[in-house]
Amino acid sequence: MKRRGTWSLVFLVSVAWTVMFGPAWAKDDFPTKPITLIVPYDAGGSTDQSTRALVNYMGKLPQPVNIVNKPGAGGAVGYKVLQPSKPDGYTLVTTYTTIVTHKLLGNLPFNHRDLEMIIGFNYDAGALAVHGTSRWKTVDEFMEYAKKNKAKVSTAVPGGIWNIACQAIMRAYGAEFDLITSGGGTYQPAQELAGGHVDALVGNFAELVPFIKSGDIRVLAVTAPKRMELFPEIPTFEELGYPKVTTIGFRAIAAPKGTPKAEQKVLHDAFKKAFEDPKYNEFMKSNAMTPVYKSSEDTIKQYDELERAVEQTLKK
Amino acid sequence: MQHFDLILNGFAMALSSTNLAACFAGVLLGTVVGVLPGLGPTATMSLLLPVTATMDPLAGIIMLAGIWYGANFGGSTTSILVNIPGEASSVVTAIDGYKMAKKGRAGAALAIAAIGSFVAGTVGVVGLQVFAPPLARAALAFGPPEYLALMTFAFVILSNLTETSPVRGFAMAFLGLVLGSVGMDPVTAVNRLTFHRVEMMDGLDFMPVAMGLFGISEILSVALEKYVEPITEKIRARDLFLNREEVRRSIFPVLRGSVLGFFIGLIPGPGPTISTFVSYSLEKRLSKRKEEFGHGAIEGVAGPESANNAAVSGSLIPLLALGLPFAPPAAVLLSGLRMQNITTGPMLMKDAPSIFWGVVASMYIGNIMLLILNLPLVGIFARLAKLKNYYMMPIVSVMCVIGVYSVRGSFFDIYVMVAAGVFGLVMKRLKYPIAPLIIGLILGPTAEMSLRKSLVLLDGNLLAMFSRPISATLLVLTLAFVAWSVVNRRLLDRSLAETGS
Repeated sequence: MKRRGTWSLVFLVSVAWTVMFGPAWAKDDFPTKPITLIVPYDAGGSTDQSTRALVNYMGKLPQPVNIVNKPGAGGAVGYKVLQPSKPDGYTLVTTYTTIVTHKLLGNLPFNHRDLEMIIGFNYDAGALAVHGTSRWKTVDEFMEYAKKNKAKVSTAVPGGIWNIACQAIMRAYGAEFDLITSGGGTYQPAQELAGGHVDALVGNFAELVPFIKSGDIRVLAVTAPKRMELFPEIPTFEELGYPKVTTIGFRAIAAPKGTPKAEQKVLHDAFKKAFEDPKYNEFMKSNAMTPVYKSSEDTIKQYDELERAVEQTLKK
Repeated sequence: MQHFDLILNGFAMALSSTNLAACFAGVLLGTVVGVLPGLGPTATMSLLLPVTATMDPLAGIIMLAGIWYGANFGGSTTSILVNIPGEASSVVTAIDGYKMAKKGRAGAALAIAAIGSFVAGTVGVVGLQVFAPPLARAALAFGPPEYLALMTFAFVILSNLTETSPVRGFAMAFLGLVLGSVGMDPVTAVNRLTFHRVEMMDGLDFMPVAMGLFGISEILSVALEKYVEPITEKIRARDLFLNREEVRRSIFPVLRGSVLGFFIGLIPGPGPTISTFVSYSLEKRLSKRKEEFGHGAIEGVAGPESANNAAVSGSLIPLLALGLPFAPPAAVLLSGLRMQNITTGPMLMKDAPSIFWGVVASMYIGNIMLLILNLPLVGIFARLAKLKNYYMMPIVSVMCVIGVYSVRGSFFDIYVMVAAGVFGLVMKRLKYPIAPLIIGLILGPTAEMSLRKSLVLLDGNLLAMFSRPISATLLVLTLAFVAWSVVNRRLLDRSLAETGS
């Protein structure tokens, strides 16, 4: 009697065990616990906003995706937290173009090729802008002045994506600007331009939108491959005959190297669902951020391309 | 008349139950993070951003703003009680506030901090309401050469904040500048003095350094001193509050601090913090009792604590009227507006007047809430000052560590704080002043950035600063101040010599 009691207890425990922890053995049921997605920038910034929008509209997973902000050192702090974490698909990071530039500048020992790129989802466009009341209405008119007078142009610090765009513009037009550089977004260049302290700026288009609306700033051309939906009258540099100027700030979701392919696929498919939701596209566009789907391979290619552009500007 | 309608409309919105609740939640949270050392308004506001994004837009912004000015209200508490600034903008308060507490006037110091904050907060909101549209444009006139002139002015004005030999003060200010240059070079993006640590690429965060230099060093020095049983006198209710003499001495510092803070808040840079330094040195200069400064002068608490609250309202002008965040908490508030899908920038007041006027009205209400919330706390906190050191100091140490860690979850910041604490202790023993180092650390990065930008803008000819009206005015003021100090010192020496002989 006693023995049978023991055996039934063992049986009950094993049944309970299987019910409680069984799914963990079955690969198909990933994820079985909440996923952590690191945003390596401050809450409320463009990287944070676009990541939150993607997570809001993504396909349903059996477990939630929790966003954690780990800002600092232009994304480097967040990348550094992700890279050595367990490659099981439960820790992810949003990468920006800084995932490429930090290695080239010697700040981090790894780059996008040392992570698994799950999905590319959004890009920021750059813009060449002048003061709203200035006499320059086109890029050519501005360049005519700039070549003769060494224009003063506000832009990002070296290694920053808008500095790279600015260098590309100078190379393409054969002009040499005097650069006034600022870290941390385009708001300082915007203030310098709106206050009439500089001739022009090269910066993030999205951050200029309110100043375009108020008439303080006029954008002459954008560095995106396509015109912006909010302001379709502004041309792209590509249309103006300078495709080499095209530069974008590109965002993707990445996981540590060695994350199993099956998990990567589950994540990729869930994130991709956001692009089928018209509300996601609507939200992104109203904030002047461009949603764009890129597969894992295309994401790597995009970053590789960017890497070449940065190397070229750094060599100078 | 239209103006009147708009503000009435703002009150109508701010007085709705949701917005009142949001305002109260904001100022309450602000007071709490203000009192807790380390955890500041910037960190708290960014932690709560996702929450406010789910709220009604106006309620969310009212709450975020409440945290900001609420933190400046509460930031003085630990400065006064234990010499640990709760916020960067309360660093100056520690100089005289802590001395007042040691003399048994903790209650008075806490009370004037609260009352001054209230008066200045209200003056600042009036300024915000009346001047926002015209002054916003004026803020745009500040380009790199103007910043540079302003930084020069600030350095000269603040150079003798505390009484020690000018050489020692200068040495510490210089060290502050060196520490301020840690991190990525703003022009070439080369890392300086970072020792290959990613955590240092953004530079040394101000808060752990200040908490270490002031707070941890104080805890260490108390621990090293022989323990003396404090004379525990009974605190009567009337001891908690200001006596007539203290009220009389505080009125003008509060009013001057309010006006000064408001205008400094308009200018790019860490406005609330700079305003406290400027107000302190102004009060010291105007006072007939200069010798009391640094030893518990109530003016040294009343002026700066008023200035930092008025500066918050000032900082809201470029933010709401132009969409330009000049201080870190303003940047978070801007993010909050963006997350609500409100287009910030020059068009905000026209496109979304309800946001602007609703926030302005809520700030009047929030300041009254803060006063009601803080005055009763004065009694409780003042009793804390009587707590025996061997209970108080361990609690404070733990609070410091948790506070610093919670800002960005970084152990590195704790190491920085402890190292700064040991360094601060050594400097204290050697009688080197700490305040100039802090000023160097705060102003250094802005000064460097503006110098290097100005050199590009003016083609390397800094004398061209005299051809720009604002920078010229500031530079002339600086020179006049230097000349006046020299003459003044000569006269002082002569009169001393005469009376002495």
